[in-house]
Amino acid sequence: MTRTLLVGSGQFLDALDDGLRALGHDVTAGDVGGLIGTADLVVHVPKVPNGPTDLVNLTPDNWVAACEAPLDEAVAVARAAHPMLARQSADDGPGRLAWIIPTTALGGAAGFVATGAACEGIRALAKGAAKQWGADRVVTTVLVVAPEAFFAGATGPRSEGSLSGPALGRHGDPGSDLAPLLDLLADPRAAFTTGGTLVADGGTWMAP
Amino acid sequence: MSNPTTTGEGLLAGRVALVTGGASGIGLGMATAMAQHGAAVVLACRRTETGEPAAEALRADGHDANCIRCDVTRPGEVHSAVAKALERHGRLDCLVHNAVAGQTGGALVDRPGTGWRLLVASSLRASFECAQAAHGALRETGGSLVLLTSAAGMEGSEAMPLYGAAKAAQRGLAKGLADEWGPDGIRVNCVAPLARTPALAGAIEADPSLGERLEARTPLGRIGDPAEDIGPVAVFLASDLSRHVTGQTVSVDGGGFRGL
Repeated sequence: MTRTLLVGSGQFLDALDDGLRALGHDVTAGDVGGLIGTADLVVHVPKVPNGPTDLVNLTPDNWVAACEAPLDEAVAVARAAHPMLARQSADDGPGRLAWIIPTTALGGAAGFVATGAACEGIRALAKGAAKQWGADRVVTTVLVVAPEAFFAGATGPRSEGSLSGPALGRHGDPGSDLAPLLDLLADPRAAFTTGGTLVADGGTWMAP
Repeated sequence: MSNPTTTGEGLLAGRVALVTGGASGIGLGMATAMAQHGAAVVLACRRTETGEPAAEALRADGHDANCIRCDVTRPGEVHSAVAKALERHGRLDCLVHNAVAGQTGGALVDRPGTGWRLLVASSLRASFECAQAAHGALRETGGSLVLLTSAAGMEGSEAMPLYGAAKAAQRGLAKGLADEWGPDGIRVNCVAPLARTPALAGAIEADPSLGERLEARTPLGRIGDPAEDIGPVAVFLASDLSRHVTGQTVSVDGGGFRGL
């Protein structure tokens, strides 16, 4: 059974939790302070504002909440997750640390400048962690999803960077579309991919 | 933009550029290149004891340059620097946020110390403050905001993973702001340079093989010069030559990073 820790909160995470449990994961959900024990998969969904604010109207506190706090939290999750995911033996499958962010990070969106900044920072953090922790058999992934899915039920940005909608005709469901991808990434057979960005938005964002 | 200027040495004639961290290294290289193309340049720097001589040297070469004290980790000084530039010149066409401080190398499992906070304050928060301070002035001129990032922000860094994260966040900021400020006629771009700066020279002195390794991964075979190699890209991004370019990251590193 895959031991999975979900860090974050909200409707998106709840749906992901249900989906992973349906796939047989032993799921624990909580905040970064609750990360103890061992795990096969740690997933962090950063808490970002679910509505737009122009940068010129952001207060310093708004800026911190939307940008610096999620980035700090991602660093804290990485530090806390490492000892849970590190493997002593090369015979063991790797432990995977995954972040889920919206494609807003890739293309940028008016009203979500601070969120996009935080999420791009997380993508580089995942790459740096992958490079440092490969020998510990800790691997990382950033799963990038449609904002329509990530900000479900809130006033998030719409998918950017494409003149057309998703090739598969929908933006994706956390439980039925994204949880299976995480399950796949947690499988030892996916062990050779690390530090990468995997776009899972039904084929809207197809940039190089 | 009715009468774009896209040719000649006067590409930036009549224009004003403010460069944070402009007293030395890449900041001074960019400021020098922009001054050589006609811009009045404001060197906003924490240490006026190096900024004043740098401005004086530019003036001695016939350029319009002055130095303003600005510690970018202090929001009040960022806003004050922009206000003083406007008071002196009456306009602002380009703000380059180049300053950065903080040491963030080492193991990611270690608790981030004051180096991380200083890095975030000087690079990321200061980008936010620079943008807020300059928005009105740049809207008036249809100007350009330039943020300095790094290849580490695109490919990640084993040696400095937190540095990579902060620099990537600046790229994210630029992309979103390009979308947000496009309707105001303001362009927002990033430059990812590799140049022989005093900081890099110090690093190479401490680790002599670093220079060789950097050059070995660079197709053009050498580390860039701040004024001769990085400066022209600042001129491009400050001028009408880049009037239709926004939200981009320009790598100016001899081809070392080619991943985009």
